[in-house]
Amino acid sequence: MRSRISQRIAAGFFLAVALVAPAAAYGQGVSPSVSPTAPYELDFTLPTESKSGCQVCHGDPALVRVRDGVVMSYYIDDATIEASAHIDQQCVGCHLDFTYKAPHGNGDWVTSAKTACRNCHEDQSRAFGVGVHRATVPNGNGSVETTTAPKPLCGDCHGAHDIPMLTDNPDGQEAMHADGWVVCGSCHEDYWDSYDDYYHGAAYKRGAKDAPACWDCHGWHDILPSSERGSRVHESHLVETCGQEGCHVGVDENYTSYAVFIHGRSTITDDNPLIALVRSVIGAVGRLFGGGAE
Amino acid sequence: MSAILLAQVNVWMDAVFILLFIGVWLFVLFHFSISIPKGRFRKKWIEGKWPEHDHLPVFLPKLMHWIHLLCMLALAFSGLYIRFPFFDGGRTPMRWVHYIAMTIVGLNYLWRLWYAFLAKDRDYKKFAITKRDLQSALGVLAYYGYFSDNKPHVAEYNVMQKMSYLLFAVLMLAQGFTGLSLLTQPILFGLSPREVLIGWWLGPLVGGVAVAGAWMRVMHYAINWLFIIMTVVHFYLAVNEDFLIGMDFFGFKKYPKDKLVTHGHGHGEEHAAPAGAAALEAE
Ligand code: HEM
Ligand code: HEM
Repeated sequence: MRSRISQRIAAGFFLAVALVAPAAAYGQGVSPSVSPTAPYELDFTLPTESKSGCQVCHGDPALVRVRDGVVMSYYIDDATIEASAHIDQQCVGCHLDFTYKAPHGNGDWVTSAKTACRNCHEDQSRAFGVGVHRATVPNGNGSVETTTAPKPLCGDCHGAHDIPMLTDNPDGQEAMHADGWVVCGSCHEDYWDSYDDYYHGAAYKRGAKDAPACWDCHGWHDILPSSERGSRVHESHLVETCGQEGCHVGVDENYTSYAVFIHGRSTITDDNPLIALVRSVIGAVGRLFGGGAE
Repeated sequence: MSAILLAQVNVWMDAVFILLFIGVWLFVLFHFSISIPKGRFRKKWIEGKWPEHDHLPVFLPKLMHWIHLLCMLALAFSGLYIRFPFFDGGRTPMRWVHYIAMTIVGLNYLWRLWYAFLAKDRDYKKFAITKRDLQSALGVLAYYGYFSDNKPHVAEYNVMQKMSYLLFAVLMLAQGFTGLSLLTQPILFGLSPREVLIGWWLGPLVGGVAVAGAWMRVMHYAINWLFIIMTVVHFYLAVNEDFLIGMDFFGFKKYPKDKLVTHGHGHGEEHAAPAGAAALEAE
C-alpha cells in the first residue's frame, strides 16, 4: 500500500519535472510553483483552474495509462472541445469530483460527468426522470428503487467532449440525426435490425437525411415503452406521431395502421410463403452442393 | 386491416417481380438456345440472312428512342434506389435524377405523340393494329414459338411489336399518373399533385388520401417491373430478330445499302408502300 502511494508520488514528481523543465529551460525565471489560490497538492503550473490547466496534461496525445491490461487514452483533443456545444464551460463544470490531485484517483469519473448535465439542463433532466430510461423505478411496494438493469446516462447517448451544438446548428442536428446506432441501436439491437422498411429504416441506415431517426417517432428524454399509452408510438398516438410536421401530415388511422411495416418488414417477409419456398429451394441446392464438398 | 394488406402486397410484389425478372432472362436464354437446333441462329448470325427492309429508320424517332431509353434507364435505376437504398447517401441525389428524368421523358413522350400524329412525316399508322394484323397474330405466335418457320409479314412492325409498342405508350401514361400522385408537396395552388390526381376520388374509396397514395406507389412499382421485364424481351428480340436494323436504329452502323429491297422482293407484297417512313402506312 505504502509503496503504491510512494510510486504515485514519484510519478507525480516526474510529471511535474517534465512539465516544468521546459519552462525553466527557457530561463524565464518561472520558478516551480504551487499556485497560492489552488488547494491542490500538484506541483505544476496551472495557468488557470480550468481548461488550459487540464489541457496541460490532457492535451498530450501520449497521455495514456494501462488499466486492467488495457491501454486507455486520457487525451482530449482541443479541436474537439472547441467544436462542441460546451466550449464555454470549464472542465470542472462537468467533472465535479475532480480531486485536484495527480493521479486523480479512481473515482467514478464517468458516471459523475455523464450525470452532471442536470445542473444546467434542468428541463431535459426532469423529462428524463419520467421516461423509461430513468434509473429509479417503482418497486411494487408503492415506492421506487434504483434498478440494476443497464440504463443509459446522459452521456451514453449524447457523447462527451464532442457534444455538438444542436440549437440553430444544422451540422450538429445532422450529426445527431445520423447517430441512431450509437444512441439506440447498440442497446436495442433487435429493434435496430428490424427497422428495415423501404422508406424509413432501410433509407435511414443509408444516410437519408429525411428518414426518421429512432427518436423522431419514439420520443427522447421522456421516452416510454410502446406498450404504454403515453408512448408516442402507442397506437393511440400514431396519428400525431406519423402526422408530425414534415412527415405524413393529415393522415388518419387508416393510414397509420400501416406502421406495422416499419419494424415488421422482416417478419412479413419471413411469413411470405413464396419467399419461404425460394429460401428452401436455395437452401436445398446449397446443401446438395455444399454437402458433398465435405 | 387495409394496412396489413398493403404491407403484405408490397412484400409479395418484391418476391414475385424479382422472380419474374430472373424468369424472363431464363426464358430468353431458353428461347435463344432453341434457335440453334432450329437453324435460325445459323441463318442469321452465321450466314447473315437478316430480315429484309425496304426503308431505313428515320432520324427523329431514332433520337427520341435514344432519349427515351436513357431516361428509362435513369428512372428504373433511381426508382429502384428509392425503394431499395443500396448505397449510402443516395436518397436526395436519386430523387433528383428521378425528377429530372421524368420531366425529360414526359416531354419526349409529347414530342413523340406530336411526331406520330401531327408532323409532316407522321407515322401513327405504323402502330395501328389492323384486321390483317389480328389475323396474322396466330402465325406470329407460331413463329416465335418455333411451331412454324414462316413469319407472317403484314407491315413494318408485326402485330406483337405493334401491341407491345402501344402497351409501352399506355404504361408510360399510367406510370406518369401513378408517379405524379406520389408527390405530396403543395405545388399546385396550395394542393399537391396527389390531391389533384387521386385525393378527391380514390381517397374516399380506399380510406384516405394517404392510403390512396400508398396504393399508387404499389402500382408505380408494379409498372416499373413491367417496363423492365418487357424491355428485356424487347431488347432480346431487337438484337436477335433484326440485328442489322437495330444497329441502324441506334446509329451504330448503317444498314447495308445492297440489302435494301424495293417492294416485291421476298417480303409480303400486299402493303402498298414506297420508300420513306411517312408513306409506310399499313392500310
Ligand atoms: C413517367 C413519369 C414518371 C414519374 C412522373 C415518376 C414519378 C415518381 C415519383 C414522384 C416517385 C416517388 C419518389 C419519391 O418518393 O421521392 C417515383 C418513384 C419510383 N419510380 Fe417513378 N416516375 C416516372 C417514371 C418511372 C419509370 C419509367 C420507372 C421505371 C421504369 C419508375 C420507377 C420508379 C420506382 C421503382 C419508384 C419507387 C417506387 C417505390 O417507392 O416503391 N418511375 N416515381
Ligand atoms: C434495351 C435497349 C433497347 C433496344 C436495343 C431497343 C431497340 C429497339 C429497336 C431496334 C426498335 C425498332 C426500331 C425500328 O425498326 O423502327 C425499337 C423501337 C421501339 N422501342 Fe426500343 N429498344 C430498347 C429500349 C427500349 C425501352 C426501354 C423502351 C420503352 C420502355 C422502348 C420502346 C420502344 C418503342 C415504343 C419502339 C417503337 C418505335 C419508335 O418509338 O419509334 N425501347 N427499339
